[in-house]
Amino acid sequence: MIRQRTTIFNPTKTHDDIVQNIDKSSFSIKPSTDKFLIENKFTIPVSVSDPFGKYKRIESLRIQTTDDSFKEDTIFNYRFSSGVNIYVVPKTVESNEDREEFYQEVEQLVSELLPIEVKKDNWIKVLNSLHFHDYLPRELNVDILRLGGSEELFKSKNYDLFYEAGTGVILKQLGLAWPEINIGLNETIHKEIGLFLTDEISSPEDIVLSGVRVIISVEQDEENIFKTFFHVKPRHRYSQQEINSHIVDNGLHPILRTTFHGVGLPQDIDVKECNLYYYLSLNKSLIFDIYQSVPQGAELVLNYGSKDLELPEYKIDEWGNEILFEFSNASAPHHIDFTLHSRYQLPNNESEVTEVLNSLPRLFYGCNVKDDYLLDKSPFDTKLKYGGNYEPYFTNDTVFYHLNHDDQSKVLVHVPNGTSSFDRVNTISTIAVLFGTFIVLVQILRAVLKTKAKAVDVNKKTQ
Amino acid sequence: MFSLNIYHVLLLSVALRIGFFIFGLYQDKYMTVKYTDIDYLVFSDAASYVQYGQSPYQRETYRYTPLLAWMLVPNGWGENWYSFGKALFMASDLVTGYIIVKLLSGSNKLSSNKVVVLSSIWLLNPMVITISTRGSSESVLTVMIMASIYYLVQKKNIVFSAFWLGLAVHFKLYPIIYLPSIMLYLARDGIPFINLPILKLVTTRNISFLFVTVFTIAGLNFVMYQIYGYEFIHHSYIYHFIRLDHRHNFSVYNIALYYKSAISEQVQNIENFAFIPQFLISAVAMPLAFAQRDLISCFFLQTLSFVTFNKVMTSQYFIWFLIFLPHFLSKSNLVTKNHAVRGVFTLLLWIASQATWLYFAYHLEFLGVNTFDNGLLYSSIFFFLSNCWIIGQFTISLQ
Repeated sequence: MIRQRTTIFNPTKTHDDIVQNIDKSSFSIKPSTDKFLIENKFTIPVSVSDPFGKYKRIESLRIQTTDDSFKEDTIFNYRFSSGVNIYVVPKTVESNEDREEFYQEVEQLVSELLPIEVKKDNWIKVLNSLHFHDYLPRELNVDILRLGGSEELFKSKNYDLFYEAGTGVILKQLGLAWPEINIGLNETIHKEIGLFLTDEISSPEDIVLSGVRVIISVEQDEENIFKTFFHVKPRHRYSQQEINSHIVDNGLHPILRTTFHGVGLPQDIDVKECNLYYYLSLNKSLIFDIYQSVPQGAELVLNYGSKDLELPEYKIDEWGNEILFEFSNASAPHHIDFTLHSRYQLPNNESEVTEVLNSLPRLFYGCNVKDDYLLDKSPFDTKLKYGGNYEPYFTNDTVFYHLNHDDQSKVLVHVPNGTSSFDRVNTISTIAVLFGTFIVLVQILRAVLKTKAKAVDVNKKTQ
Repeated sequence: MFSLNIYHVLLLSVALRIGFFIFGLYQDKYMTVKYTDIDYLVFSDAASYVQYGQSPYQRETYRYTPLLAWMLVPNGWGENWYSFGKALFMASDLVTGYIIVKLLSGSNKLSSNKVVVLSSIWLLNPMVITISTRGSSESVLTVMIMASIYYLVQKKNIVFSAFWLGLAVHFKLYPIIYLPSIMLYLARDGIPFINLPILKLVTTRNISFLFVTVFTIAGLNFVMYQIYGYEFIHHSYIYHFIRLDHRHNFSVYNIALYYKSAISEQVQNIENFAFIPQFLISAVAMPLAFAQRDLISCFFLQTLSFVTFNKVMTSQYFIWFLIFLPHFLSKSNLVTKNHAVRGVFTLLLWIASQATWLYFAYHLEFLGVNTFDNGLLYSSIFFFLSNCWIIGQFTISLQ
């Protein structure tokens, strides 16, 4: 049976008047504000259904998408680069045919799930998988998952899908629980619903959730309602600092500037030591020059993706680069300037500039903490074998203190492009070259004739 | 009254280079726009790979002979050594100037005042000084070329001259265009193998020169190939033939190349035939017309034509022909009173056409203004045609 875990987070201090109905076959709530969050987690074991079973070459696939619309969320933590992030791992590849087959399967599977086409050469190799990123968040086509018509499934641009061959598929999606939630019995889905708020005794490093759990399932026997109180040690936390990232226009060398407001070194009692990190999924239209553009005070930790520093955008196959900087001084600088270089864009006679939108950089303090074994005990922990942007580059005892961007933050670069046509430019250039060649050859001829005339004059005079 | 002699010029040229160099250190440290050329960082990175026993081609965009990286290994010996390469380039720049002085004073029977003025075109030229103090390696090449000329024209030493030319061609391919001129120049006084029209141009002297040059090039390339394999051949030579340099530069072909790079299908365009006018003029017509008359002026005209018709042109390339300008002007009537107006107009045209292109390039590069189609395209053509007209004026100005 498919398992559905629906977690509703109540951001207020009380559950009073929230719950409208609870019984064996239904659960209804009416949130008091539009800040309630709901996360659905669907687990589809292979024993029930194997929607990806026909893809024989894929070992694992993870798709994480966010539109950054839940900045205040402290529980579910969809803290990855805004847009679509795909990670894929092949099964053992023994020949070129296997490799080609794998890429064909991936292309087909991705196109079934998302309205994008990812070709073999678009992927970049990262730590332990292949990675693709697109700054535009897109909804997932869940038809392929055959979720038994779950009534709670909603359209979302905040989700995390994980597939592992032989195990199954897990899909998590995050949304607003508003204006009301009604969950009923479904014969093919085992539903576990939780309604929680953070208890007064909570602290940022130890969140205590209290509320109620309800099981709605044909398999459930007698008791199905449980008062619940549990502790979560979150891996993702929030710094008090707010940041702004924007492009400082500088022609073909735009500067991505991030400024910091306030100071906010992590102060939680379990924190041992911290460093500031800067993670960016960089569009292929922009060049990161590893030799000259590492921001002041930073050290380059990794740079996966295209290394070419010259080619135009249309000659680069990879989607872009994944970049991580570490700032040696734990406290945040006043601002970070990251100089980029624009690649030439395809000529376009409809517009003088190409707009390049890029995901915002992720800035966070990475800190070692005490009692780190509790981190992955959290039912909301996001760290998995593959994916998570920056997560796999950090040890298991690391927590991330995120610096949230303000609403004005945007990475938008305008790159001028040609507006004419090849034929026109080629014709004009050809005429110029022919005319120039003619000028030079005529003058050379004149010079030669002049010299000969002079020589004849000299001969005549000497005779 | 105090008057400058050549020693004053040499001293002043050293002082200017040191001054520019120190200013560069200051600018690099305190200003947003850096003084040091990007290429210098490339050379230095490549040299540090060499220092640790690796290939210089591990550095992206290093597309030169490994010799250059070898020369700059001291750059990696510590912070105080980082400018070693610049010192080397400045020294090469001065040696080039010194050879120019020797050639001017040796063969032209010029007055010392004229030698001072003409050699100042190189030695005190802010463009030349800026290029070497920013860390461009062109001056290393100019030493090789000038040394080759010095041994050929003044010392009459074919072997040394041919060796230096071979080294220069190994360093950068384009000096190979001087070979036809030298062959013709040496044919003038050599003993022909066969005394028949055209075939009598083949003499012991030019065959010896050709042999030593080819042997030097082949020897150096063989050694480098043994050490670095195919990547040496690819990055040092093949790349320069297959590159589609789409980023803006002075070349008349540049915008066409940008548009060509953006279309997926294979098309024939002017760029495919670019080598025809380039080689016809610089490696055939110019040598035939001028090599036996005045070799160094011929080199000047060849190089100016080669650069003008090249698919890529940056201001560093101007150094390639500037080394011959002092000699050329000593033979041109453009600096005489009768033709001074034409001479000044020629200079102003060159500056104005270049400035026009730079204006549009600046707007694109640093202000992000779209100047591809109406700015860069036409200004590159204006600069190209100006250069062609100037080449024409130069050819008929030779006395």
